[in-house]
Amino acid sequence: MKHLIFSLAALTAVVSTAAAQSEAFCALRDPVRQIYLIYPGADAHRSIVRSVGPKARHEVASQLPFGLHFNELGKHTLYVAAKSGRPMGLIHVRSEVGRWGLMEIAWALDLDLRVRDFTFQRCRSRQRKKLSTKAFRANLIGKNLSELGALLTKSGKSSSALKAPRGTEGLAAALVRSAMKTIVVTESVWKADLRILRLLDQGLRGFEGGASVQPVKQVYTQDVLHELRDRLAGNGSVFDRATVAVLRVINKDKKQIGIVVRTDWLVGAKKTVILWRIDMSGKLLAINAAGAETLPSEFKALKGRALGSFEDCASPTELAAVEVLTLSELHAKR
Amino acid sequence: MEPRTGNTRVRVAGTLLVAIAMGLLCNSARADDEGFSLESLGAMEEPEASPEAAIEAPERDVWERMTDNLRVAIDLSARGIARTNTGRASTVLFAGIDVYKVFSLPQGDWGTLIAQVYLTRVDNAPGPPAPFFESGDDTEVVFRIFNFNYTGLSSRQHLNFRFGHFEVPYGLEQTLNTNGTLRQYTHGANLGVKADWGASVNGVTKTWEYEFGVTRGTGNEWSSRGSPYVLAGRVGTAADQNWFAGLSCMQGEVLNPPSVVRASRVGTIVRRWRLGFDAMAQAGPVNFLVEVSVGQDFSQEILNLFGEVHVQNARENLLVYAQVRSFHQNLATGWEDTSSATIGARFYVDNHWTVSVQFTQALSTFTNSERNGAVSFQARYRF
Repeated sequence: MKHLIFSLAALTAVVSTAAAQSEAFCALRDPVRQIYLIYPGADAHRSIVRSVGPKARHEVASQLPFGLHFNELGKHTLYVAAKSGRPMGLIHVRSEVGRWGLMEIAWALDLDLRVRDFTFQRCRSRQRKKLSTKAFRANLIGKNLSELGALLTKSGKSSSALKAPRGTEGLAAALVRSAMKTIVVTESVWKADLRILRLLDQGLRGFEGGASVQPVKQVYTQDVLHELRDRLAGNGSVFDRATVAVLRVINKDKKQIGIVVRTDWLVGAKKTVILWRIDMSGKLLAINAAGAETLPSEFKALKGRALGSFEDCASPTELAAVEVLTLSELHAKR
Repeated sequence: MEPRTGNTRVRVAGTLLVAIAMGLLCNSARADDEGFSLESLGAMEEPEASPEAAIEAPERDVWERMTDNLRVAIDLSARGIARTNTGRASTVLFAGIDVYKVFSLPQGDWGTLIAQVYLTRVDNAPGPPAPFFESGDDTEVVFRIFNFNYTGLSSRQHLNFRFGHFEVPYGLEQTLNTNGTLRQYTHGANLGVKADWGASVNGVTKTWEYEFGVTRGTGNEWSSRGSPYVLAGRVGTAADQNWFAGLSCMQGEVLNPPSVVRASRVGTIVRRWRLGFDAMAQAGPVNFLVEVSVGQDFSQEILNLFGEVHVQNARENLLVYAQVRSFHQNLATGWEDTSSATIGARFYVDNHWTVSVQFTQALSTFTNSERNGAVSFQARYRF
């Protein structure tokens, strides 16, 4: 018994925090219904518990004209909906003060923290139904933090850009405020997890059977640089090499099944992140932008090409492909 | 005097802890690849300021896996109870640990541990406040909730398995938490046991939730005396909505249930069954709760009624409630009843402090004895 008490005391001394909430933990409930309602194709969900504390409060106060109330502080859970081990998106339940009590909203966000959808988990207002319609939800779906901000006035009230049914403007504005707080808090508190999730998404998308992603620690080793000098015949890289990442895609049996090279690319004045997917035979399977941007058509022509060196190239995109394929070849674990 | 069963209780809890520790080790053994998977989440408490390209998979030891998705709080409470007819004042002190841990693998979450262990000291109570206390001046280790819920069978949690010490699945108590609070519903007086050692199947669907369990019938302690048991279950609509309703059933032989049913007690084990209906509805800031149970204690018919109205402010840190309980039993002399009314309030001062006050007045008693009143106050601090 003494050992049990000692062990519990030691555990408590390390992990007990000032973020404890007033209600006993047995009252906690996972929003399982909401997760699978919004992500019907998901086959699992993963919880990530973090403390929402003064730092997040400061972030919200510095970015938004409204703050977090005391119920929003403490330990909170971000849920990741997944299919076959791949992240589909996030669910984050936040509470907002309503007229008759707190309303709890389950926000579905994509990995770039755009609103994917939402559902009321708890809301006493009769206006709830009017704001659950597809027409109203279209106001918010697909929007990021700044685009949501355009739906509110500077004081956080409903603006003319927010198309809400008559009489629901107050609740609609509260919803937008909640979405904005959710995005800021998620970015601030779950930043490290978001990096991993984005890596997983970038690595596993397009590779059936992929289970995990293994980043290459040093991309441009001496061997790689030497090989690139030969293949590019002294031509410089078209990339900012400090931003290039190489991800090995691993299946359930711990075997590599492909590689993803992530590079930056200037499309006009805008920098776009490009994901180059290569199979184990060195064939370019796909070249996509990491976000919603559209790539110039010359990238499509690279699909399936085998470009070994500078002599095979007639354009900067082909030179880029040579470098990417060289990285893939030298970092593949066979 | 019943034989003490504290050692048995600790052995059961110890077995559960060992099983969980084995689960943790299995968990850690399965995640030794250097890559990122869903299991890598939650590893780094603070993001590193490294460039995007220089990302390394976090290496996680057993301790990090144990503390991943872990909530721990120390929970301290002081409760004072003054009886209006005698002026007698008693106190109850609680010092406990509240642990909540979600277990995850790359495939997702697969289980939840809840462990609430409290050292409880009672002073100057007129009698044992619960069957597991020896007297009105006693100290006991109380396992409020102490169970593991295996959710790995169905990711959507259609079918989970719980084992350990959990609330008997019946009525309002199944969906609304009253552990360590002055505000209570009917479990103790109606079923004779609030939380019990055993196993259950439970789950949720789009619109329903359910739990059916078989438990020891002895409450806080795993007693070796006799062969008590409880079979209980509840099916209800989703409890996270603005209203819910549920049907419950219970059949069992309960060891030493609380005093309200003494009129029918034979020995220390009471054979009983119950069928129950419970519901909650909201209208603006007002909530209505009701629970109705019918059944038998041995061959004596039972009708137990409970109703509550409560109001919360917009921030939901203040709750004011009024309750009525009316328990009816068809004794050899005919139908008798014991009824009481309660008013109370609970205020969350901040994320740590909660203060509560409550007044209960007996309206009638089975034995037509003096109708007692009691004023209770509780301060609770969690950190």
